[in-house]
This record gives sequence, C-alpha cells and structure tokens, in this order.
Amino acid sequence: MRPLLDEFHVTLITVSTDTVSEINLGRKMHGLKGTMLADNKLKIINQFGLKNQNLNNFRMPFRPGLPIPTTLLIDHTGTVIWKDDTNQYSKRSDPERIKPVLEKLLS
Amino acid sequence: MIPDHLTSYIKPQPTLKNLYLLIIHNMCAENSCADVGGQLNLCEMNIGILALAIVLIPTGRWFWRAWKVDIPSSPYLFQMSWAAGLALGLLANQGGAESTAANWAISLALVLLYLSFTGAQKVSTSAIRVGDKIPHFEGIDGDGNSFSSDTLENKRIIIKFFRAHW
Repeated sequence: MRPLLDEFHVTLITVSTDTVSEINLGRKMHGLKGTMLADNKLKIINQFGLKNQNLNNFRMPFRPGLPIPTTLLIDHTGTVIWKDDTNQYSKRSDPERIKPVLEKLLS
Repeated sequence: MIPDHLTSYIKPQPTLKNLYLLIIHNMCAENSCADVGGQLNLCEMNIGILALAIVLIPTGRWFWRAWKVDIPSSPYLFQMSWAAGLALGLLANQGGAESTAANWAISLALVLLYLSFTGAQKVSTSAIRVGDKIPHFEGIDGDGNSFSSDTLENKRIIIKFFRAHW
C-alpha cells in the first residue's frame, strides 16, 4: 500500500488499542510502517466516536473496549471525504478498496 | 437393529429418554444392554469427551486464524459446531450421571454461541461522518514519542482504526 499512498501524497496514521510494545511486536510480525498510535485507553477512538457500543463492561471486563474497524480519508482541509466501516470486523480496507477511492476523490 | 427387549422403550411413546437410550445402544457395544449401568456411564463419558472435542477444535481453529490476522468472515460453521457440541453435551448428561467433559462442553458452547450471536458492532450516534472536520487529537506513537494532529495540517491523511495486532 505504500506505493499507492506515495503516489497520492497521503499520510497514513493508524490508531489501535495496542500498547507501544504491542505496536512494535506487530511491526516485527507484519512489517508495518508509518505512524502507529497507541490508544489503549480509547481516548482518540472516543474523540472520533468509534468505540464499539456493544462491548460493555460485562462482555469485556479487563479492557476499556475496542473500536469499530474504520478507515477515514481526510483532505488537506481536515474534512472527512470518505469513510469505510463495516459490521464484519474481518473485512478491512485493503489497497483494492482504497485505490479507486483515491483515484476518484484525490485525482 | 434394535433388540426386541428394547423396543418397548420406543413404542408406543417415543420420548427424549427413549431416543437417548436408542442412541446410546447404537453407539455402545452390542451387548451393553446386559450391563446397563456401567456401560451407559462409560458411553456417556465418551459422548461428553466427544462433545468437548467438537467445541474445542473449531474454537482453537478460530483463535489460530485470529492470530494469523485471517479471521473467518462467516461464523456459521463455527456456530454449528458449537451447537452440535452443546447438543451432545446435553445428551451425555441425560442419563443422570453427569460427565465433567460434557459439562465443560455445555458451558463453553453456551458462552461461545452467546458471544457469536451478540457480537455485532454498534456505532455511537456521535461517530464521525463524511463531511465532518476531524477533531484535534494527541497520542503516543510506536516509538513512545508524543504525537499531535497539528503535524497533519494541510496534508491528505488516511486514518485507520483497528482493534489490535491480534
């Protein structure tokens, strides 16, 4: 996906509930690059309103919750111009889904 | 084939208990009828272990695929396996003598089925939408350094929110 992002001059930021050490583990496992933010207290996730409301303290007593997997495309004015979220958490925005969106909205 | 002395259990009222005896008879040794108590308990234990295996194997498979970041898109086969394990576990305990393995199978299957059927994601009414400005945010990056969204000013950005590395 890096060549695609470079082509359209897009900066990638990821936000997850991983801790800093878990982020580094993920980098080693999957060769991930880019700015990856550790949000294990869901501070950023709550600012965007993306916490999964179904995960209450009963279902997840040892964690503050999880986000709904979501991808946002933001233009240079800071406005969200595309949002990809799904009920199926296993389906995530992969390059095949993002590329046509970038070509359509940022060309 | 059902021995003649067992047919009375089946006719004229096929109840759950009679069905259970029929299944047990067919799953156990042919002459188990002669020693009903001991053989039935052994069969119930075996069924309980089978039930637990039917619950645990797909569960292990699910977590293995989650570890590989290849979570199955459809939970139906897993739900069917858990339901089958639940049914077998209940069947194993029908005879009166409870099997530890069957109890574990029943408990785990109930929890897994509950989680799988109620796991749909629910978004907040205040979730960010297309057309909204993103809020100012700050955090810690993977190197332990502070990060501020001010550094993203006038840039095109993709922000990906995901659960965790698992």
